[in-house]
Amino acid sequence: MRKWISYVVPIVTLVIFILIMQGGYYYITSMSDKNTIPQYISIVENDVKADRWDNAKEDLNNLDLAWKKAIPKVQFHAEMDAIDGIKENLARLSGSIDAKDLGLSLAELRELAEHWENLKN
Amino acid sequence: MNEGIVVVVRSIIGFFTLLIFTRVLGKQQIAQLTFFDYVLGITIGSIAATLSVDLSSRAWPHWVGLLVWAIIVLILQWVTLKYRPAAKYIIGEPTIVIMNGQIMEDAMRKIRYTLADVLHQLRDKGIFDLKQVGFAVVETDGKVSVLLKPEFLPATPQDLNLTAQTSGLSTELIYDGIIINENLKQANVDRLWLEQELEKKGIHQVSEVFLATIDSSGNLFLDTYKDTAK
Repeated sequence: MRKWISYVVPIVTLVIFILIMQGGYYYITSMSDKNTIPQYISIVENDVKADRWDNAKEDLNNLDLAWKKAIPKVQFHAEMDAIDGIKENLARLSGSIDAKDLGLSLAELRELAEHWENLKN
Repeated sequence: MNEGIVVVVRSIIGFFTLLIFTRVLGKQQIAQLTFFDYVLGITIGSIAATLSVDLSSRAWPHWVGLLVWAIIVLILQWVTLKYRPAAKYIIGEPTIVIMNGQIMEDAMRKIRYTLADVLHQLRDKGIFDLKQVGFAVVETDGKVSVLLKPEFLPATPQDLNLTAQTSGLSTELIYDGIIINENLKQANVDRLWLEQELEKKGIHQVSEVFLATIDSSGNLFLDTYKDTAK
């Protein structure tokens, strides 16, 4: 009985560690409703392209909220630089939407999407 | 991202992964440190440290690195256990540096061991006169094993035709004021006998005793919390 436990405990521990480290990856790659960030990026992009700046501002807030909810799920998986990169993108995007700058907004959105994809690596 | 929490979680992962891996790798890792094991220990420790605090990179690649290093060590250990020639090649062989009292300069040069190293190791063993040394062997972990010349070896009871008594291993009966019941059974004594023995020494409470051990001949050693030596 004890010998059985002495094998199971380290194996279970290692599996839990793997889940903690890789759980973020499955969250990012999952297509579930909880993973709304790619959808919001796409919505904001459509708003910006259609010159709907008020909607873009509102959807950006939703994107920001979705990102804040995602951080605890990806923080043990992702690099700090990648997380900081997304934070910076969101801040610059907010400014470019306020300035109604189409080019800068699209550039930030594409970079944001790229940073989000990079979290998978 | 709360960096503090991430470091705490990653440190826990690093610490327990290291603990599990070193337990799997066995005592060889800490007991018989060859030069390779030494380098290996540093590398694995360094990977675990990076895993713990380097937040600029992900934890997962470091963890995989740790796993791969541990698996390679495990494979090498298995190979060295199963195949003697491989063990010779990987771990190396002991080298005789003093044979019949003569220093083997060529052998020392091959393993880049200086006379100062040998003398240092001999002094470490309490040997200050090279004349006393019959054989000295540099083991694979870099330590020197010494066989003194017969005339300098300490006399044993056998040399003196004496019969030596085996003292055996002593068993702890009381530690930190608490009786260890399992050891009482193992030593074939009971609580009543132990209390009587304590009474004989003027000890009325078990809690007064810091350590009580019994040897295979039934001799009791007692140490109380009250120390007479100042």
